[in-house]
Amino acid sequence: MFLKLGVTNAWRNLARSLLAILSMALAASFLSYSVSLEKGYAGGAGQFIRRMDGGEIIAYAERLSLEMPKEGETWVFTDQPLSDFTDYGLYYPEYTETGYLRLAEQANYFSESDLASISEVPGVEKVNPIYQMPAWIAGATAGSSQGNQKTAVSVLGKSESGAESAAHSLEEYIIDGHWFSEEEMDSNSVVVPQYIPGIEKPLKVGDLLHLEIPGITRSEDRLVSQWFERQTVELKVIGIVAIPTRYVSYLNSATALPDGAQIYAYSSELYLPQGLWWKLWNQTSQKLPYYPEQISIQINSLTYLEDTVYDLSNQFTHFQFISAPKAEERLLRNFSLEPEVAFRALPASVSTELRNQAIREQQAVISADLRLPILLLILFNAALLVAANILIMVTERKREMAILKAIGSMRKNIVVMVLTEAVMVTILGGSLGFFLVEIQSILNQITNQNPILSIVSSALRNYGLVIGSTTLIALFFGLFPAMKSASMSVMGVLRDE
Amino acid sequence: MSRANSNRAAALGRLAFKNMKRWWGRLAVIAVLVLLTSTLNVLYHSMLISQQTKSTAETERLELPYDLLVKLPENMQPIALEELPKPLNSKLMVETVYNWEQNRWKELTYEVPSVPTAFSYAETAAGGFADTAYNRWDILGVRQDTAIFRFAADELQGTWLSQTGDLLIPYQDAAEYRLAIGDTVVMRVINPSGSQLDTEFHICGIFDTGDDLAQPLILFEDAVSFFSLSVPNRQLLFCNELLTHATGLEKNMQQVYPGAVFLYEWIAQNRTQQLTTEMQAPSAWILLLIYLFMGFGVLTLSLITFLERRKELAVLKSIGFSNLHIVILLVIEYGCATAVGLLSSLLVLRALIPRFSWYQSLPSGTLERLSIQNLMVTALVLTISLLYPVLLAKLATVNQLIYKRKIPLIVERFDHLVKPTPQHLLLERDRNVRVLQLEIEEGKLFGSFLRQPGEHVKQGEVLLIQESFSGFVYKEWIAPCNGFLEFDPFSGILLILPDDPNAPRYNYPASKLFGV
Repeated sequence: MFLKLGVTNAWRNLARSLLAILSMALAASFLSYSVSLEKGYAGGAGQFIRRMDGGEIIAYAERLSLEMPKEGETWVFTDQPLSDFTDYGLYYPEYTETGYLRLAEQANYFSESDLASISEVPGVEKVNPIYQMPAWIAGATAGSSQGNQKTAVSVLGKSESGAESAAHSLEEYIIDGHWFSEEEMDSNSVVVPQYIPGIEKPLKVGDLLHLEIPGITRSEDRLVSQWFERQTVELKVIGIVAIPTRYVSYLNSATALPDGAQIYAYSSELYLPQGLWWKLWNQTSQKLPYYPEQISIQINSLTYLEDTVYDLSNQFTHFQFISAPKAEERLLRNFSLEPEVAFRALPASVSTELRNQAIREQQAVISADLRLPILLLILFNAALLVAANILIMVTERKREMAILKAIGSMRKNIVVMVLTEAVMVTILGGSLGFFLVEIQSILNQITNQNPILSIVSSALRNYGLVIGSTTLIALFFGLFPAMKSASMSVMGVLRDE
Repeated sequence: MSRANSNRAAALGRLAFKNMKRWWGRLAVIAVLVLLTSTLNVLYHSMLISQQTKSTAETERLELPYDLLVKLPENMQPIALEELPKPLNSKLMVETVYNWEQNRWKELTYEVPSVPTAFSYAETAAGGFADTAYNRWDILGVRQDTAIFRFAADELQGTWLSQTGDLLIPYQDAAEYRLAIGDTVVMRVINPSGSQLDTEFHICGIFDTGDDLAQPLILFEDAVSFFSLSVPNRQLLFCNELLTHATGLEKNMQQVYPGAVFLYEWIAQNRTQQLTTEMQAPSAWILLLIYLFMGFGVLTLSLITFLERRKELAVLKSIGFSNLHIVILLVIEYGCATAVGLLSSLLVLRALIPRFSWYQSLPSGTLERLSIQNLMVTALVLTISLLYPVLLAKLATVNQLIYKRKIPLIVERFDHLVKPTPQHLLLERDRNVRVLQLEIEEGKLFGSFLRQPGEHVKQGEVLLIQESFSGFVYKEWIAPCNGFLEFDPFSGILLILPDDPNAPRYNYPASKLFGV
């Protein structure tokens, strides 16, 4: 009966309890957020990066995103060019000019043991070294107007058709020709992007490409390109890939109807069959062992992608990890793969407005992880407000409590009634906050085609954790006002009232 | 102070002291909240500052032969020394502040002196990146008579640059690539148009000055032709009065050379400081949240206390305490609790902070500055938090306190029209009535009639009351004269037909305007 009375009272005074409900909703939403670091991603997140790099997480041996240095670590300023054997130049093209800070002691590559350790981290399905080296395209087909002009590119070694899953293969982006077959893994063939910066006329299937590859040596554990020991190789274009970056919707002023255009990347990456890549590597480096400076990591599920990145960053503090969706976000924000000409299909005003949004990051930082202190503060405050709400209620309804006691209610009944109100406010607020955060995670998991049972059990588990925690705290803080109201003197109250 | 006032003050003080003893629990909680908030804030803030100072201090300062190297954007001409603004940026760095003077905001502009105050020497140069058989080199082309790269005898092996094709390399590069005087180095550059240019240079000297970021040097003229430059793209500058941390230097120079890249001795510290600030940015939210929660906590406690003290306040008001006395009483009580909290916080900080390892990295005066800042912010937050309960105590009438009625913060009384229209004034004149306009919404009147239409009312009687915004705003319509009440529900007009036709009428200024 007193439980029912508590629920009725809470429902009756919902408006007054609004502040406490909202505060508890905020606490619950933050707690829900903390249970899983990110809300997860839907299946399409970071698509083109995942295919270009072959994984959901990209890792670099050289860490350029800085966080508070630990004991013994120092930062040094350097104006050395960024490595030619990673794609850092895409993300930080101006660093060679402006210089940047890096940790004085830093790893320069991933060793075999590093790769093995990374693959053992929970959530990691596969670790792929990225086989990359710099090159120049020295003219294309015979009679090309480009003549002696050179275009800087990177050449990457890729697996044959069908070796990678659909989510990790560039084969899906082939618009002309084909990807490498198993028989072509050692052939002098190349798949090129539809648009290459510096090449006016797009290449076609069947074109011959002259590639200059530098000699490669290792200096202080870093790979160094030796341009005066270059080798030239002739390659035949067998496939063209068009890498979609973004779709721009706009209002067509001519027709007054919504319109849109797909934008494609201008990429300097050429793709060679793995066998050919190794052959060129051995020739140019005199068979140096290849220790990758960049790797990609495939994981089990996008739902816990950022959690895995977080775990990797904590475990391997000298390497840098970034998720494909975040990398894609950075590239798109800086228009790194989209020069002005990429937007030629759009009206000039739309293109200008879009490009004005470009934000150049000075140097990425890793912000302090403040989830725990903020969570504690918010929880404490929410519990305080619930307790205050109960105290106000008790103060204003002394007469009611006194009458209940006069007609025979025991102390524990009063306490149960008061605490029920506190719990009801907590559950209302907590549920609101939980579902506000969790709904996106649930939708992402549905899009990722996770089993329904797994989605429901995960949501219920998180809900139980969030509501359980908030309820316990509310009960703890609400106990004192409840006991205070239960112990007041009946005669004193009735006389005064 | 008169005897009566001093007696009054003493009585208030004694009463405040007794109340503090009576409500010591609540006040203690407020003091604890203030203590925790202040301590936490100062601790956390000082930890952030020490992190920033430490990481900035641990970053190595560069040893450079120049004070400032400017890498100019394409086609930007270097500015001659005579033409560089003097003193540097004092006109460019103009700060506008707004001051409240003579009842209005005034815009005052100050010239902010910046660092450095003057350049003493400027030299143009040229440079860029070139590929060599060894690595990619950042080449600098300097004038043969440069005043910056002057090597002592023990710093230079070989000879200075004297003819086209001469190359000076740093000792580190010579050692790494096993180069010697007389060796030939072919440098290659790819122009923006894509054409490749190879040029041979002969090592005429190797220098070792111990400077950081030492670059291979060639003649200025060689660099201009090698990199196909139309204008020099580097400028080397010396400055006067350059302080240890020229934090404004890069920002100031960006206004002189927009889009240029700058290199100076403290670039690492400046970058570290900027990046650390960015890293710590989310932490600023913690500081804000802490104060916010303290404010909420104090507001809640003081409201609860007010609700429990309603009868006490009613008794005080009924025996003659003015509203001001009530406010002073509450301010003394809460002020003492706050003072206790702040003092305790100072003591706790004094005891705690030296035990933290990062205490040593704190610049001197930081704790004092943070404590004063904290004191002011706490006082502000508490003032805002306590404003509502104190206002309630001040504005509440004895009846509202005793009978637990709502206490409106805004009370409005109308015995005349606030915004008379010509129709109102014509009605008053033609029918010799007194008009009051009630507030209706969508044809509905929200409020309670205390006297019904058709009844006789007396001057000063409350005719209608209206509460809005959950009782925060309270409005009364009062009869301006004796007479009978009429009401038109469609227009919301309340008419009083006066008993005395010559009863005084409110002198509306608008009546002259409308000629009524």
